[in-house]
Amino acid sequence: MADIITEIGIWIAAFLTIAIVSVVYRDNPIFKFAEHTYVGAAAGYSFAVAIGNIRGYGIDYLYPTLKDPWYILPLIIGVLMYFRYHRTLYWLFRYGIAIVVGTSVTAAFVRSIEADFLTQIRSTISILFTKGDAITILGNVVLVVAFITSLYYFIFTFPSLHAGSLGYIPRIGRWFMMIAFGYSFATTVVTRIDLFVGRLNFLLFEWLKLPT
Amino acid sequence: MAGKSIIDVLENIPREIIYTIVLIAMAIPLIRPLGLPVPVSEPIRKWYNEIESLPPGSIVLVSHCSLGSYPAFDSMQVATLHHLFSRPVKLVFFSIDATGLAVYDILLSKVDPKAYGKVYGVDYFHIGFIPGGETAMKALAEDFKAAVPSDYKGTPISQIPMAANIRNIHDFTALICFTSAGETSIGWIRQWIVVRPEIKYLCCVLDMMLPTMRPYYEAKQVTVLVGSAPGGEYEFLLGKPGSGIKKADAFTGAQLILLVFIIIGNIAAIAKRMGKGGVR
Repeated sequence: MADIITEIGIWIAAFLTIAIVSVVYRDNPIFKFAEHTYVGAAAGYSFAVAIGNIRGYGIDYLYPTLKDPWYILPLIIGVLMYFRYHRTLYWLFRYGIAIVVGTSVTAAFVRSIEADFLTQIRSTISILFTKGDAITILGNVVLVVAFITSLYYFIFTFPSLHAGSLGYIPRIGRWFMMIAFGYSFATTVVTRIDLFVGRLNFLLFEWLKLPT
Repeated sequence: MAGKSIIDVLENIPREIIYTIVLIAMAIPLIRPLGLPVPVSEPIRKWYNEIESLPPGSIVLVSHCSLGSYPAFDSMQVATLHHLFSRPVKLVFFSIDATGLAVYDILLSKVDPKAYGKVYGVDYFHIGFIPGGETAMKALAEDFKAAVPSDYKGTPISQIPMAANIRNIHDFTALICFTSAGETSIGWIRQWIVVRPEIKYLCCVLDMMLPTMRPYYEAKQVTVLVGSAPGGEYEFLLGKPGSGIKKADAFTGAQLILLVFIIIGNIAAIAKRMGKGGVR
């Protein structure tokens, strides 16, 4: 019985994979069906997991025995969200949203200064003092030049800094940025191929059961 | 075709034809592997060495990927689990995405912990999905047991022997993250590495995220940074051939074909410009 269910699952997965890939030919109803099925399944699954979390992180602490009364607070904040649908008390939902967004932003922002700014600046400056072989030093010099010229490109306050002989600096920066965008685009293509090879592997060997 | 030059034809190859050729270029090496050499790159070697050098008894947090990105991370995750289970370390699995729990089931269907003598709750356990993104990471770092009331099966955390020794971030030696989301890979830096820089952070991201993550690696906030594509290299290094090695040939085939199309497109574009009065 388990084998039959597994086999049905493989056939459904194969159909949905082909349906999704069919968009490379052009947009079509089968693709739309698969796309909506994916979104619906993911939403349904997430909903079920969310219900489990409301129990695990809220109700279980309050009922049947009261373990920690503070756990009533997240439940109240959650309920506030639904006041959005109330005609007169809809403003209460803003408090729920404000608490959730405020908590997340605070958690990220406090550490962001250290992680995303200070350490990066320290690292870039320290490159100038790094010892190494000729290739390493050359690489570091290129990095510092790329950093300065790319940053210079975005100084728009003083147009004179982009005029005359100074105009070469942002132009060099633009070249560095183009190389970076090219690298970024190439890695995006690589990722897409990687994802598709995974699905092709599934279609050939798990669905069509070709000998490996 | 009448009236069209060869350059026009090359510049306007229908995308259906390009995709079909790429599909064939991928399928043939999958069905009949070309046996191309699999050179092991430096990041993969470093990934291997870092896991190999984990002290016995180390506690490692493994944050695995979501279901949508699983095909990309399949080989890297499976190979990493083989390696981790073969080492005398303790594993705490975590899902930052609601769909990630399904990934854990798939992973354990491919890597049997019992084959390595590992016991659930003693050598490894899964804390499930914790909502909140970065706030969940922060909660885990500050007070592990408060953030994790039970494992993913609903067993109270107090009944899991391995969890008795875990209080907060200071009890972890390493963090291994597989993710297709930038806010996750960078979130771990903000909430864990900034707090405790001694933690080894092994980060595997989609290849398209490598340019974004590279500055964090250069700043030594990430111990090892690898893309999801070279899973085959890791399988080769471990001596555990899997889907990654098989995919490597297909991957190379597709990239060669794309390279050919890029060259054709550029030749056609340059030739056309020259015909109009020279290259700009």
